[in-house]
Amino acid sequence: MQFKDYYKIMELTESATAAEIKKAYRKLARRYHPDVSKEENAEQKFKDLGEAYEVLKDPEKKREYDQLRQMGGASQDGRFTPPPGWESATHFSGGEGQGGDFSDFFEAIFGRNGSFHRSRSRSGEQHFSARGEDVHADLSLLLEEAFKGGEQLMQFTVPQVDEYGLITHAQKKLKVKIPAGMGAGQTLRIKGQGAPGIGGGPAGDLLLRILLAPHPLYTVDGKNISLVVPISPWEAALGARVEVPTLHGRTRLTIPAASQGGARLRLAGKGLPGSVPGDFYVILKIVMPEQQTEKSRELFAQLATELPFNPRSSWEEKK
Amino acid sequence: MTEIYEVEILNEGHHYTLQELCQSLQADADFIVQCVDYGIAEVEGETREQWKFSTLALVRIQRAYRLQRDLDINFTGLGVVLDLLDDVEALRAQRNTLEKRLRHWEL
Repeated sequence: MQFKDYYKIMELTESATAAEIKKAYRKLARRYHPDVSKEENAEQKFKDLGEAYEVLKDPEKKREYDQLRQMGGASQDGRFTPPPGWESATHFSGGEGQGGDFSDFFEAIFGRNGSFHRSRSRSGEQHFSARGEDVHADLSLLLEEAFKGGEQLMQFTVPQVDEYGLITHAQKKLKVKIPAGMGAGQTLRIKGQGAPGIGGGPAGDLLLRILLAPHPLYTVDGKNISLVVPISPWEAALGARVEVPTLHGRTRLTIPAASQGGARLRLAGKGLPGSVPGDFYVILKIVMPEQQTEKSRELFAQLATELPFNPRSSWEEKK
Repeated sequence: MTEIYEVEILNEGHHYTLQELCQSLQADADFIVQCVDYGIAEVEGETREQWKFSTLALVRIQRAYRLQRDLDINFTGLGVVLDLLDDVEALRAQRNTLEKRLRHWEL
């Protein structure tokens, strides 16, 4: 197992005082809290932080940990094995903790009893059985998958209480059938797939929040979908029939004559499906050809004399 | 592993009672009542027995619960934090959409 450097995790040196340790914990807990943080691996970092603080805030545990660390707790390759006959003198006494389980590294030093006991089911303790907690998880879908629906294999973590009353986390995998037309932020429930019940109580549910992965072509706003469609200057001037890819397949679209760049055209009901289906918006982008010929330049010059036009007239001072 | 689970869509019409919410979150009714009193979560219904919570309220209360447990934030603070987090999330989504749309325009 890897040696965990609790000082590094808490961004402290070994000489840190109790006050500094507390301060560092508060600061980093705010930074890495999974509900607040956008940092990568915030959840793991928050867990490591809770574990590091659990050790460093307790003078007895800290002393033992420092001892192991000085003894060269980690070998060259960073692997760690407790010295033969090692036994921790500390006894764990609940805590303000994070409700999570600790690493194998922590347990190797402080024993399994050092891990958190389930302390959250305050009201549940008086009863013989309690329903398991609901588990929340996010499921990222491609826009096409959300549109069509279908089977998705997903992985999530479920807290479980073992026979000693300790919380462990189990990785669970299951296949779910996603209905067609899910939008971002929509919640789905899978009954009985949350945390197991206690004392024969029923299991909690799994609540899935749908997230949409960014799409290379479309932008999504609720149930509406937008697509930027490039058109030539003459298509904009004269109007045209173009084919655009929508989630419902390729659709023919009429671009009216004298269309402006940036104009939005609406295809009603061609967005994400639902009781009120979304719309599909086409945003026109006028694009110049990269190559010109002698003749085309002549034609543009002719156009410039034929049609006096100042596209920047709105800048002119009003008189 | 071969079993395929059916899902249930929790749409805007879906509601939880106070008791169901306590079970779902493994939280005290007291905590949830405070969340309502401080306007952290919206609720429909006059008396506690009639209270109906939306899925959105459930998610907010759960977040509030974790934040209080881990960061020791009082109820006024929780309201501020959750409102700001909502704003940040909405702004981030908006920024992502606009940034992407802009990329289609720039060469």
